[in-house]
Amino acid sequence: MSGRHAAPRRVEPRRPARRRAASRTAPRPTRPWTPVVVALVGALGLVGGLGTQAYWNDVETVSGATVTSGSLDLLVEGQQSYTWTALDLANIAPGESTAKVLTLNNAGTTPFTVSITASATASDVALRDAMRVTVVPAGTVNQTSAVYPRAQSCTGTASFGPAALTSSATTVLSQSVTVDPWGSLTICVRLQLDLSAANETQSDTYTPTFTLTATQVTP
Amino acid sequence: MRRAVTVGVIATVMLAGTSPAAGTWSDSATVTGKSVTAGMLEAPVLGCEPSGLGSKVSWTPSTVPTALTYTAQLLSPSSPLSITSSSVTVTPTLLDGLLGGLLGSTVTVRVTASLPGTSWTVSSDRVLHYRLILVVPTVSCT
Repeated sequence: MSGRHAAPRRVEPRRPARRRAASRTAPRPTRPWTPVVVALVGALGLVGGLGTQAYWNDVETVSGATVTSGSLDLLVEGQQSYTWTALDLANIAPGESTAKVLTLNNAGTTPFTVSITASATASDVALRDAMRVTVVPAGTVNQTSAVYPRAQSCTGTASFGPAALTSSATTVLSQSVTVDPWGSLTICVRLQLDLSAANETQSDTYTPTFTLTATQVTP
Repeated sequence: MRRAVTVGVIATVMLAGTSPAAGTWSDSATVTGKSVTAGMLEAPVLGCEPSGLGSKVSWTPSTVPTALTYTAQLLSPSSPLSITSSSVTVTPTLLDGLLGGLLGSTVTVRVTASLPGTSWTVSSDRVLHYRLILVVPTVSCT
């Protein structure tokens, strides 16, 4: 053996030239752990994103004003149930009549229309049939005679009558008049004993009843 | 497709028609009238007094509610009587013609008051006796 020994050369397997030239510019081959790195970065990103949700925030509560519903309240002469003592004529005789005005009030906050039904009872049906009833919305009383035959009438256009009431409810005023809140409506009612009232009607009693219904005006 | 649209339209119309009524407020009040009492005519109060051989039935005219009109008649047999100054006089001569001289009978005088122009009336009766008193036919109050 000589003293000059050449270092052993690393012998690499020969590769095709074309392959070697391409390796200078192409990225190195992907290593197996690359997806793991990407996942970690993504996870960190997410963690970072979560961190942004911890930014300061504030919540305010707004309480609205208390909303109170309105009301619909019909009163007759200031009362819910009213005995109409004024509608009377002592010892009424055939041909005589009496008329009085009733005041309805809207004590609520809602406009309404009014309808009225009426019925009557009598100690003798002959008197009930002989009593003629007239209803005039917004009517006023007109007295034409204070002595026999005493006579009063209602001025205005009648919504009912003159006609007899029965024991069944009869509509004497339909829903045609609107009463605004705190407003009022007058109703004139006339009772007249017909001249043809039978003899047996003497000293009998007659009682009319009126039922008033207020219905909210549809907005 | 057309059927479905029709059904939908009908349902919408029904809903629209019912919803306002369902939400409408109402209130009611009752008014009871005072009992109206019809009047009553005053029944004539009949007085009776001798008038010759007969009897005179009288009364005070009523003016409530206005001046009443009066009629008088005999009952059984029915016969009108003439009124003079709120009275009628029943004589034996009258009854003899009506009763044929049937002494011992009673007759009833009815006086009726009427409210002019109406059907209202009221009546009162008075019974008279037709008999012999001292052999003379007489109409007496008792």
